[in-house]
Amino acid sequence: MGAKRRREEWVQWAVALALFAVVPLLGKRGFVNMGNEILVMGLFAMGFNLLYGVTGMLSFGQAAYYGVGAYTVGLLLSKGVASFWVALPATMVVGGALALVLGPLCIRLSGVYFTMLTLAFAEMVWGIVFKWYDFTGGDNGIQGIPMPEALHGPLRYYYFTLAVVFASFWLIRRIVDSPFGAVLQSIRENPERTGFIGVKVRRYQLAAMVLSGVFAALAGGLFAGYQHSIHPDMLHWTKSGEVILMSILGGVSSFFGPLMGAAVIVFIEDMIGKYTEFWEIWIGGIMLAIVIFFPRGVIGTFDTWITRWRNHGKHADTAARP
Amino acid sequence: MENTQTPPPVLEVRRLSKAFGGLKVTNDVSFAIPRGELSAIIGPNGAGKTTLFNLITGKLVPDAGEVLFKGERIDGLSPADIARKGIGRAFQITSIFKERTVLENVLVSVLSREKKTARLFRRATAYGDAVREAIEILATLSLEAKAGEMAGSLPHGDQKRLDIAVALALNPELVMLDEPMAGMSPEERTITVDLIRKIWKEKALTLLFIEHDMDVVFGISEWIRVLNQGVLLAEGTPAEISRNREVITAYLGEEIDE
Amino acid sequence: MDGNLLVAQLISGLTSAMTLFLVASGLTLIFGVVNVFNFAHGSFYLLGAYFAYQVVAVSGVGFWAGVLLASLGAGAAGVLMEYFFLRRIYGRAGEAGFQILLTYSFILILDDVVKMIWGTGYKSISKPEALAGPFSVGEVTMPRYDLVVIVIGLAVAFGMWAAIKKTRFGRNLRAISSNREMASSLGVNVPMTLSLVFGLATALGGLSGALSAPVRTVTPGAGIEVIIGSLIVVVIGGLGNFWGALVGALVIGEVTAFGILFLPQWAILFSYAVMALVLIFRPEGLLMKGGAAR
Repeated sequence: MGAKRRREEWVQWAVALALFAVVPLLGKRGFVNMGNEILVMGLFAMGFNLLYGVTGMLSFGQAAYYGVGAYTVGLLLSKGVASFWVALPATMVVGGALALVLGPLCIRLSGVYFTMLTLAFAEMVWGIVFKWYDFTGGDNGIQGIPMPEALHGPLRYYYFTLAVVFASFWLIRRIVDSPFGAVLQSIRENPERTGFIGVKVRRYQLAAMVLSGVFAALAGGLFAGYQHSIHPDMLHWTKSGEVILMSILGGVSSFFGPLMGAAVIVFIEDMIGKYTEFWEIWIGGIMLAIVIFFPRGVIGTFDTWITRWRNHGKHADTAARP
Repeated sequence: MENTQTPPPVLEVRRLSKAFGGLKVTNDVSFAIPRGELSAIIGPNGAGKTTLFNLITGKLVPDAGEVLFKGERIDGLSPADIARKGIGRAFQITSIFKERTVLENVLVSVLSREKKTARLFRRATAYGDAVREAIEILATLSLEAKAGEMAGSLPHGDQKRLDIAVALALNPELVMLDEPMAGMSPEERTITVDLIRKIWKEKALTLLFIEHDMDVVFGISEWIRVLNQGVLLAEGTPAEISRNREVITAYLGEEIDE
Repeated sequence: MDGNLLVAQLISGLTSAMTLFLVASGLTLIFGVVNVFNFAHGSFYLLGAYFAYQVVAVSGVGFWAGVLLASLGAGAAGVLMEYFFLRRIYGRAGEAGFQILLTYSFILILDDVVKMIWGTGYKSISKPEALAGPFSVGEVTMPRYDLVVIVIGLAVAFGMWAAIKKTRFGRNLRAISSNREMASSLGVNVPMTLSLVFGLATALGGLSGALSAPVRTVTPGAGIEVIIGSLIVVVIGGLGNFWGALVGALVIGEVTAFGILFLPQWAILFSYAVMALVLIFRPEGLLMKGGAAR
């Protein structure tokens, strides 16, 4: 609370924004591409973390919303039904609507069963997209999606993405700090007690799922625009796993954690992709290492170490806080 | 009943029963709590005291019988609905929001009561009135100095009091405390007992608590109800209960001071 | 509609129900006793299939010996995962989340290990000669192999039930699932039992994979399909309920088999639909009594 923490946060935001804004000026096309991917996955991960880190609900099916968002843009544009300026906001509506359909089913059970249900229904959506060849292009996906003139070129699209993504981050931040966000966090900490203070817990859990779906779909739509193509792989369960990995790597209890995790994973995947097709074992290995050695997230753990070292140096006579 | 001027009892339990497997954990229990009463429920371990609390607050659905709050039936309602009607409950095993600050613990309860929890855009801490009220409630339980600390890092006694504060933030008419003193040192007990009595008086609450510490029970209760093996064995003033044969045999086993 | 065709589908459904049951029962066993949701369970099905392929098709060992070896191999792999990795997270705060993440990482790792050793192409084994043909009762024919699978499935179901009810091992399992500490103080070697149970369950998963290998082509993608299928089975039958796993498997086996008759492209959707219905009307599962406590 208080002005000091508020100022520290402003600094974090400014630094993050500045870093991303500066990337294209470094001259390499590859950096812009990677930056774009990091922004998109960062948004996806932050939206996911609204569900996991904030509300405590581990969903293994967010790829369904991401993919549906991508397909909304891809299908509307490639079939000439609407412009990108309509399709992109439409992704949010579609993502939210899908969450309203699947959410109530998943919330019927809790714990691991909730997680497994999110996976199962996401697989169902993937299956539908995969098999509905006539509508979605099936296994081939759709390529050559036309983008509006104003966004032609990687630079323009990059800055557009930057604006949309950071605006979304700001929105997510407001939500987390609001009374609504306070309830979500209470649900994470103690769902039973939250009920006993008069909150209809399921309603808020569903709302969290809808919000998370909205941001995931938006991220998917942005990616479709970046890639100019869509493919059922976007709904594959490994996509859901990827966004979970990014969040736990960065640390689910810090606001920018998922974004930092996204940056690291996009970078690593790029590197791995250059040398071997066996990327799953590396990603699996990283996840295994995090779970066993860095349960608070790698960045979260470093944060704790640094804080402890600082405290030890400054206040040698006070007991270290856990 | 006869005198239509008397308001209905704050809480009335009629022939309440609940069984698990073949075991009747709550067996045909009936009693009524008048407005403003400070009363205790006592009984040996396994008597069904917490189950009774669970039945009243909606965590369990009774097999038979009714629960009435201010004359209105509440059995079968969800805990959230019952909390909104005006019953606040604290828990035997501390039930707070550990990775949230002390202030946030109480603030969310205040905001819930004020039905402001659907608000998405303003910071929760910017709701000045709610924050002030939360701090006041913390003050009544001597916790305001720790408002910025993580609830999970508080010593046990503070956590128990925080548990109570979260319940009080609902501005309930009936407060139900399940072993509020459990695990506290003797000094903490005295402090907490005084706080509870003070709060009861100042806020004109009806207060019902479960306790094992007989000094506390006989010290502050106006009325005591004794549960044994799911059955309401006896109820009366502390003096009456201390002399009640059945109670003594079933539970106390020795003489106690009044 | 041809009556024989219906019966043939019924039997086909029964066969897939049995393979589903073998996997789901292992999953339920681990969840009930070890209190772990083995997300990677499908990967042990996969290992069973690939081990069977390796041993039978490549090394030329007899079919049934191969199936046995494959199951044991899957079981051993399960024990290794439990002993060296899962154990490290027992008792952590928020353990459930870590279990999922840890077992998920194993899905990825095992997926690539399988690809590295055997490649990504389809693999297949032939059925043992004696079972390759059809079996007829009156006008009804079905593959002999299917009959054997059904018999094995029922035998395992009965065997597990008997073991859990009547043997000392079964008593230990029940003790551990209700109260680990008490079981330990009563003299049960809890850590060893947990590992054994884990191995037993993954062996069952491997058995299912090995038995399925001659009937379905073996590919790396099978792991996740299997886990979702098992989840659907367990949700329908009742969480943690052994007979529920059998009932759920039968429901899904038959629903899918008949779904293929009417809407072959979308037959898989029927299972999801059934699960959705169960979730709406009876979320605790078909075999569980009464409504869940709030």
